[in-house]
Amino acid sequence: VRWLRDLVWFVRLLSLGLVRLAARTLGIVVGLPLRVLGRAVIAAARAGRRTWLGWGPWRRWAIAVCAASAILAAGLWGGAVAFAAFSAEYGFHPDVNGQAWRDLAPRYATVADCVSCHDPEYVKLTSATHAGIGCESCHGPLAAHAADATSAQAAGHPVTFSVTKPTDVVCRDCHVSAVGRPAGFREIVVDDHYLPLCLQCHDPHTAISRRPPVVGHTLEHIPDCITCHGAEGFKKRDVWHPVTSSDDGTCLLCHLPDRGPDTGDGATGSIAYPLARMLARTDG
Amino acid sequence: MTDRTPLPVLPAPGPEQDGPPDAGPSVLDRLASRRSFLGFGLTIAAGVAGASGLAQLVPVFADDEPGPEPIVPAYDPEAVAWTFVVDTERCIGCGQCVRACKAENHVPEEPRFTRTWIERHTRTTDGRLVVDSPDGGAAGFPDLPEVGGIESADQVADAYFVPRLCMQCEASPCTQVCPVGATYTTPEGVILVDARRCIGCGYCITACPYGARYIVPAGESSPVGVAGIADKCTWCYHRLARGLKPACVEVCPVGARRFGDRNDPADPIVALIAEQQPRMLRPEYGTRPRVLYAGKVAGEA
Repeated sequence: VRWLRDLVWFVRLLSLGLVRLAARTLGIVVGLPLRVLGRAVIAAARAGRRTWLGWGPWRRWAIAVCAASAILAAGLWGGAVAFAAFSAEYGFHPDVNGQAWRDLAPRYATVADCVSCHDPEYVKLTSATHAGIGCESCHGPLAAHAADATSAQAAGHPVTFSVTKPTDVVCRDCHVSAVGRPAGFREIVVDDHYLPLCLQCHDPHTAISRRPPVVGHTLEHIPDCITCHGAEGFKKRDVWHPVTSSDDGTCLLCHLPDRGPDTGDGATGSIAYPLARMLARTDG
Repeated sequence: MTDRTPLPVLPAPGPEQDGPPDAGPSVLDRLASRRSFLGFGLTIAAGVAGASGLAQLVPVFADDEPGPEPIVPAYDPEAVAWTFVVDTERCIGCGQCVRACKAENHVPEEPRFTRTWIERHTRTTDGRLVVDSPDGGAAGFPDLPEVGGIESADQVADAYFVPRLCMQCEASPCTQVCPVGATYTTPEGVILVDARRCIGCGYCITACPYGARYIVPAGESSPVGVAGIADKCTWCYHRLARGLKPACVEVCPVGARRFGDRNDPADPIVALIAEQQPRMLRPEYGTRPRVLYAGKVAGEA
């Protein structure tokens, strides 16, 4: 019950030193002018103007009553003002502080906010093992990005708030082997991998279960051929290869992207066998 | 006091006083001393009474004031019963929640100051319970606990992760012990710290049986306050009123943290509670937490 809660808080705060503080404030607000006034009157009396001491008792009482009324009124108003000021400063009511907590700005948006623009990624995600994981689990807090994108679209200019791409650290936080993970959870041993760089082979959106590339693999997230097909690679290039450069362009002179065999996993931009090999295969 | 009372003699004026020596305003002095004393007391009483009377008039203090304007119009803090369910069977100990909490709530980067953390409870084959929480789980967990003398995975009989946070107790010890009333319970049941009143005495930290609080260290600041005051999980209070879930719930990749309104039959949390029967952590403390735990929890049979 709100009024009861307020009452409890009121009483509680009173007991917590409000009276003391209000009294102090009042002592200054009311006491000081009174004292100044009194001093002035005393000084005037000392100077010899003793006219009012000659008045009758009823007049003196009238003055006293008037003064008391004035003091009372000043006390009422001064107390109210001091109390209001005190409340504003120290938060008499907990709701004052609750609103301060509520006014904080979120830094994480929701999946719904992301999907409104990044629908393709989301569609990919829903069919993968990572389905159900929120975007910001890996990409970090993006409420500012979402707000910026919304306002940028409305204004017709490009999004300026940059988003840092997650690194392999994000993968490892979940998937590195550790005692205590639930049964059936996919744990990996980094040392068993050729490269400790998850995202060069695994696309986190399509399917985590995708193995390191087979024949026709996409070029997505794979910046450099000899990263995997170098002299020490887990899939070494054939000895007769004349190419020793790490330049992708050199490899792609023979291994044509976009023209490879369809591997059936929907991968596009596959790497084709060189034409000579394909011919040899048909002959054989 | 009558006007026939003889006037007391003033002390002899100093040589610098140029007034007549027989001019004695001591009636005023006496009047001033007694009356001002009386008037002062009256003033205080009247001031307090007037202020409390004024409280009925000023809208801020009025009883029928509807409270702070919610950001989501339909949100009624008094109608919801937020409940937080932690599933230790699902938690993988990745630490996303800990990092998200720090980012969302401006929690100090230093690992020992955290609003939420993950513990790994490892039961060894010889029956010991080893609990480790390196940096609160903010950077994930090593393969084996680095404490407790566990050499290999063969010594581990059972292990699971337990995410921890403020329990938002219905009978919260922290609000009871706070000497200045800085810790209070909102209508939703969330326990907050009023930064303007907290004096940083640390009594609430001693009182909390779940260890959910910390004092904001020097050089840092609470989201709404300064260094030196107590801070704790607020269930992302600023998100609740906006219709969002706490940041840790939002980022949890395996759904180990669930959050919802028990009063809303359509909320999945209701079915979840009915199905999994999550329990309070340490119910014997009598604190009646609003955070419930499904799955294994240390200290239970």
